[in-house]
Amino acid sequence: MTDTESLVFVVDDDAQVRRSLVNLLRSVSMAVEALASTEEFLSYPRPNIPSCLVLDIRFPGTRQSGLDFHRQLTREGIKIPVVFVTGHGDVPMSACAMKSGAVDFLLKPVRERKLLEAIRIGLEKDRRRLDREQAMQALNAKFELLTPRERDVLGLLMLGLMNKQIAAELNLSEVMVKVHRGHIMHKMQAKTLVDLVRMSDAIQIAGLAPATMDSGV
Amino acid sequence: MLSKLESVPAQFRETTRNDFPHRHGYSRLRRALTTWAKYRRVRRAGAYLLAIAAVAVACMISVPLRYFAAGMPNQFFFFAAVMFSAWFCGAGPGFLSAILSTMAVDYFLLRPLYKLDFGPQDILWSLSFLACCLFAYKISLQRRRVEKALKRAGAELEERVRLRSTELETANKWAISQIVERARAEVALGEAQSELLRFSRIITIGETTAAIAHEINQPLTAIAANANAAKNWLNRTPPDIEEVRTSLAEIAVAADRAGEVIGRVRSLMRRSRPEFEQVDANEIVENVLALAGAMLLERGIIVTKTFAAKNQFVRGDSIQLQQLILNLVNNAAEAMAGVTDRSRDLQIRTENEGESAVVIRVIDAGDGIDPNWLGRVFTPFYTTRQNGMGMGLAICRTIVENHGGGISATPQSPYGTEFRVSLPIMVQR
Repeated sequence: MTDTESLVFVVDDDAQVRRSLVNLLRSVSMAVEALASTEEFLSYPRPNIPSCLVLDIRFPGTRQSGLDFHRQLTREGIKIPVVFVTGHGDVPMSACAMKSGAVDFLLKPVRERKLLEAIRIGLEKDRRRLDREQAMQALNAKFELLTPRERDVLGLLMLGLMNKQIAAELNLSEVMVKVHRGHIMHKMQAKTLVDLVRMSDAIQIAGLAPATMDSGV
Repeated sequence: MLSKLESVPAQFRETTRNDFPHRHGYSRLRRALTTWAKYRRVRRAGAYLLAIAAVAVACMISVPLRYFAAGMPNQFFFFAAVMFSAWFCGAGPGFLSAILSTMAVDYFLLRPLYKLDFGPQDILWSLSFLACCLFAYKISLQRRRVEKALKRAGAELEERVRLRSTELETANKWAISQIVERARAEVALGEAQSELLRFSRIITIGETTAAIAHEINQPLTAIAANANAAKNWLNRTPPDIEEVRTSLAEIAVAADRAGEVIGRVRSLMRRSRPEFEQVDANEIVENVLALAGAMLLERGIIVTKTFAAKNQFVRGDSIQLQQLILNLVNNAAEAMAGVTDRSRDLQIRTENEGESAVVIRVIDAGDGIDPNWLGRVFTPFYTTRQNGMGMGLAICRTIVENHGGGISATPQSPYGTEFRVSLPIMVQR
């Protein structure tokens, strides 16, 4: 793990605790950003690199707890892994945190190894997520290159239809279907039909499947 | 013992006699009574013998005298004998000596001599002599009775005085013991009260344990993290000494903070005996807010403090006063627990009232107290809460009264309650 490729956010209202956590993370060569409140975190420009949020459970003034804030992040589609660090956690609280997808739930005073381990897991998770998203974005970009007709052909291919059947379905000549298929393979940079199906599946799983696929069936 | 019995007044004798059977049994009492009866008989016989002897002595004096002073009346020795007998030997012997004297005078002194001859001439004389004797006897007897009565009255009086003084002494002892007892009770009450205050303080602290634990946990977290960081900085090649120095400085600051929290809790737990000294009311409020701060934050309570007093020094026990404010703050926090439609504002103000008092106001934004129950909120065991003991405000009142101050609760409009504590200003010397 290299310094500049990840970023850890520490959000704690207690300046002393915040400083100490930042110091600890810096001492193991992590890039850290310390913030005093959840609002500051929301307004902070988050770079598109693997990051992790170390969050205290309770926040004074606002009646929103760290758990509430975590839920808010999920609602708003901010998918940063969260490590809870709290002074007074109990079982229901930790269960609640883990259920809503927290990486870990640590009690203050927190063990160095546990904290670093949790942060590393969080960063790794985020890295995978980012990789996945990037791959997905690339796939989508390729998919965008397809013409509507090519998309129709692709949709039918996915259903396992043969060239002849596709031609009949779309009122095309078999030759034209083959040409479209060749273009699709080229644009999607798929070497085999299996590759192509897998890519299309990924797009579909991500919920980005083209509307034409439904109409094609 | 027996002679004593005689001289002791009747009511006292009763108790003495009643005392005996229990201690020595009836036989001893009966023996004593028999001895006493015998002794009385001997005494009576002796008295008669003494009367006869007195008359004999009168004879022995008067008969020779007749030869030396013939023709002179010499029967007055018999009067003396009668008086003596009546005086010392009682009524019976006195009367006997009067009769004997009359006979002896007739026998020895009247002619014909040495012959009991009551002729018509002598009988008149003898009778008048007897009358004189009886008169002397009567007077003596009366005197004797009066004297005896006086003696008895004197003894009785003495006894009564003795009894009364014993009674007084007992009463006095009782009174003194009552005074001592009362003083002891007062001391015990005072001790019980300060113990109660201490316990309630410990309970209050117990209730805010989570907050206190958090207060200590924060610096502890900082210390642990900084220590690990320092270790990591040292392990680098080359070690980053500057970062190590910064980490260590942070550790020191955090340790101080933890120490302060511990100190505050300990100062509340400490001794139970109150110490009255000059106390800064603002400092009291600050200390309490530092202790309860985490609890208040956790409950989403927003604290506004205003220190408007020009002279905020009162004479009091800082621990008790901290407990007072802590109770009021806890009370306010409880009162606002159910508030969701408005902000949970807690205002604490210190201000002067005239020249003589510091007023501390604790104003919450809770639902307020039913005006019908306002008068009762400071009475012990009165509570509107499910798990409340109803001691908090009662203890507040006790503390305020210990300091010669006053406490009151006033409903605020449209919601909330103001608790107003007034404490006399410390007179500057």
